[in-house]
Amino acid sequence: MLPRCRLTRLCRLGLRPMSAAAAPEPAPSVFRTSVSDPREHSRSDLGRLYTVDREDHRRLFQVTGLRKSLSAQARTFCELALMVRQPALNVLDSLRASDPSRPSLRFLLYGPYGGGKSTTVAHVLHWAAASGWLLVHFPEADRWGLRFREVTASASDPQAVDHPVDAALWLAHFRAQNAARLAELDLRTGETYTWSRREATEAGSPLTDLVELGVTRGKHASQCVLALLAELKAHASAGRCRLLMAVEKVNAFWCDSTARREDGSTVKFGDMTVIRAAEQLLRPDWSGGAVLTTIAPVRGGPEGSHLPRHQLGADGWRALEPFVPIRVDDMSRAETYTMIDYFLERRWLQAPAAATERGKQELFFRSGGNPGKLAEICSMY
Amino acid sequence: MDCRYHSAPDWDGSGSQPPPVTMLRSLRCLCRLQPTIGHVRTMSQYPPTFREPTLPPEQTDEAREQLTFSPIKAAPSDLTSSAFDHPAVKKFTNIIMKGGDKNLAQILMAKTFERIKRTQIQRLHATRDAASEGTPDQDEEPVCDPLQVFLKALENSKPRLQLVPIIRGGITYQGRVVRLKQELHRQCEANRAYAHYTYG
Repeated sequence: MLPRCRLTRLCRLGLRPMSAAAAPEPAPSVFRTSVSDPREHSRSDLGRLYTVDREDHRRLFQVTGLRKSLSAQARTFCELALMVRQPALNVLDSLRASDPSRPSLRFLLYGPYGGGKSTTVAHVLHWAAASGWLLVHFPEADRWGLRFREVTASASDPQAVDHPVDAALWLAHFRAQNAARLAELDLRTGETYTWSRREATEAGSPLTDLVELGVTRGKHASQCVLALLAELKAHASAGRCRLLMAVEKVNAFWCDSTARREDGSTVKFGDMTVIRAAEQLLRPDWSGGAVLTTIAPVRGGPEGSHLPRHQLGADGWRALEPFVPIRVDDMSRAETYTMIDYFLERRWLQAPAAATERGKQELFFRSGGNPGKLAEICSMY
Repeated sequence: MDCRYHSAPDWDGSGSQPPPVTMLRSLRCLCRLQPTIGHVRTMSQYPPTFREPTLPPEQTDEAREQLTFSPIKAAPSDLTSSAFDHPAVKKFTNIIMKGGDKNLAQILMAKTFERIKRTQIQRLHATRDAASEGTPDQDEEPVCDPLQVFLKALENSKPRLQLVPIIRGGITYQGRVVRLKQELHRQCEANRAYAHYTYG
């Protein structure tokens, strides 16, 4: 049995230490693929679930990064299993074939709510990490303006807005995802950053210094993010690393936030330091990487169509165009049945009717193949 | 047998039939003002010839043919052919509903069942862990089906009934009276000195 301190830490991370009896090694079956390395996923794995290695799961999604429902599911099932679907394979094929000397490709995932956009991003992130890319992952872009913990006026620009707590947490997430790779690459800052009269990060310091400073000093965290992403952009363009930026709900960048200044004026997302940091990488003026974005209706955003042009608005469209649009649709009947079989195997679906053909037909009919809706319906049975 | 009782649904899904007709008739004088006895309705806006509405998966061909020539009661709005529906869950959802907000009541039921499942699955894993490490838990594996847990909870919550003699008009009837479980336990506790007398 593990020492108690490590036990509670692992439980907090949602990774309960399990013996073989509790989470047995899944036998190869129709709905699982034994290929757990995303670099080897191909057409033959389509429609089947692969299990993310526990160490990778911990590294990539320890702090944040998965949707709450998927995170809870991984905790209950004692594993994180993702379905290999066409949209993810399309992105992976493009990334494998992309030329690092050319301007970075920008992908935009769109589709119905609960259709699997976030899960596709998780799959691509796993591939990028396995391939040695650095990851810049913003799991929920709308949080910065709608559900932030704290905002303060920026020291450098009075009109700009900093996030002392959220930026520090994000840097912790960045560190968890990239610590090992950053240590291998040993990238250095290109210029000196002065934080105050006594504090400065000299040119030639390791990038990890920037990260550590931001994690420990919330006051400078947002500026650290700005500096860090500028440095990473320069290193990627110079060919010293490959960089994948993933921004979910990117359409929030061109909305109004709920934050207000002292004079009552509305703070736009574009006024926020961290958002400006991310926007550096949204521009097509760098190479050696790629940008993966998703759009989803956000509070305060345009009502109506869920399609890219409407959700991005004129400003967002102008900023992101040209991009590769990829539709992430609801699951097919076969994929839905695969998911149901997986739920049955994990003892999540308890009702005897769920194992029958009639029950599966009903679950497919009621969910319409939508993964989010299927999970919602199956939670009760 | 009177059609009314034949078609009355057993709402708790236990499969137990309503009490025999003779006992009900004798108790009607006691329960004159109450339209229900136990779980059987004795007053209905429908004449006894009206049948309960059913949906195709539950109907046999003969039943469907008979229904073609019988009047049928109006279907409730929550009648579905879902393979997952349970009458007790529907009834309980209606009971917890306030202000007609059925949507919220259903959401609460769904979240409750989900929490039951997660808790039980965690316990299941813990039990299996203990078993594999050679320290088996004294209990068997926990039930993970939230419906079974819910029905058992309902069963545990039901009042215990006892027959006591009641004299009315010179005739002694065996009336059903609610006895609280606590009172029974209190009586057992008071008489615990005599427990060993059972061994003779």
